[in-house]
Amino acid sequence: MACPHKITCELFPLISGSGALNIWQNYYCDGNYEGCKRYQSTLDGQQIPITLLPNGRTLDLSTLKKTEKEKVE
Amino acid sequence: MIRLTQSGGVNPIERYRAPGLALCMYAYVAMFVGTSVAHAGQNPMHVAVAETHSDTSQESLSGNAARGTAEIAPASTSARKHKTFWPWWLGALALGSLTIAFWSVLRMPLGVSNSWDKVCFWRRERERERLKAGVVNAGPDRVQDALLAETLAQFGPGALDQAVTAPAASGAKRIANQTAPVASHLIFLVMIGAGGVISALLNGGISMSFDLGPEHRAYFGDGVLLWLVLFLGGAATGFGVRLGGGCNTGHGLSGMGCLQVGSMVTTASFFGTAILVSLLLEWVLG
Repeated sequence: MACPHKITCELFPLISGSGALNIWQNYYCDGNYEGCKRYQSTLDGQQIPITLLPNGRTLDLSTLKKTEKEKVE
Repeated sequence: MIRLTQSGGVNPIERYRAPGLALCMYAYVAMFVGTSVAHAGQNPMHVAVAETHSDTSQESLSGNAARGTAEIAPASTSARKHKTFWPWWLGALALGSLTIAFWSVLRMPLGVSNSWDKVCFWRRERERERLKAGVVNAGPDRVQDALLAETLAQFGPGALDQAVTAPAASGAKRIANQTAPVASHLIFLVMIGAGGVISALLNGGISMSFDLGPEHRAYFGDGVLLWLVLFLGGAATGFGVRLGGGCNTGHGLSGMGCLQVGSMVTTASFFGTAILVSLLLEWVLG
């Protein structure tokens, strides 16, 4: 069963159907969505920042350095 | 080698904010003004109420099932004013259209309590908007790279193998549609009141009332008990809305429209409880 919050999740468009990032969708959105921190936070009535990842980590764009980008490439 | 190609450069928040706000304003003004327009026609549903007459304790309720009408008329018919509402099917179409339009423009499910929550906690929402704007303004490439770095950390290098053959991401562009600034929610709430005021003015004027009608007044009077009941009712409603994650607009219109089982259960509990309480009041208080 897929996550019922996919339609309103701000992060979902970023990770869905997009190559390597699709693994997030497969693992969380279409799989273990109850283990997703975003889903859990929603159930607690919290407003979820877009930078909160399903594993609980925060997407920090400011610390992404060029060397890391090159390493990924 | 991972090659993520994205087009960017336009701030989608700014792109969709203006039409979103304009649509919300237009929809609500049109909706409530439309109520008054229907007043001029031959609408089969009439509710006549005495707003200006001081003696409303003798009001009686009569219905005509054959014509599908219901009238609440005071014993004294002086200063009677007629308010005409849309037929149910037209109201359903209007609300359904508004729900779809709200989603189409703002990419947010329509919900009054949700908007109220965002307006009350506007500082938190501004922080969310700031984070979102940071993601959008960072550009698709940078966001994708940051996400790829997190993917590596979470799933390991093997997770990236499929990226060689998989198509490039398009999600960073679609984030443009996931935007509803706090201002849009505030305008949404304000326009509900504004639409009601406009409709009332077009229907003969505004009169203040501090109860929920003659039956309510007959049960609880017009003193301290009335205010206490209203306060407790409001508190219970607020508690239930927070507990249920939405009100009758969010669950009843948006959630049920998306065939969400939870919203169906919640809406059923809303109206089921209301019916039961009404019957209970009728039984207890006579």
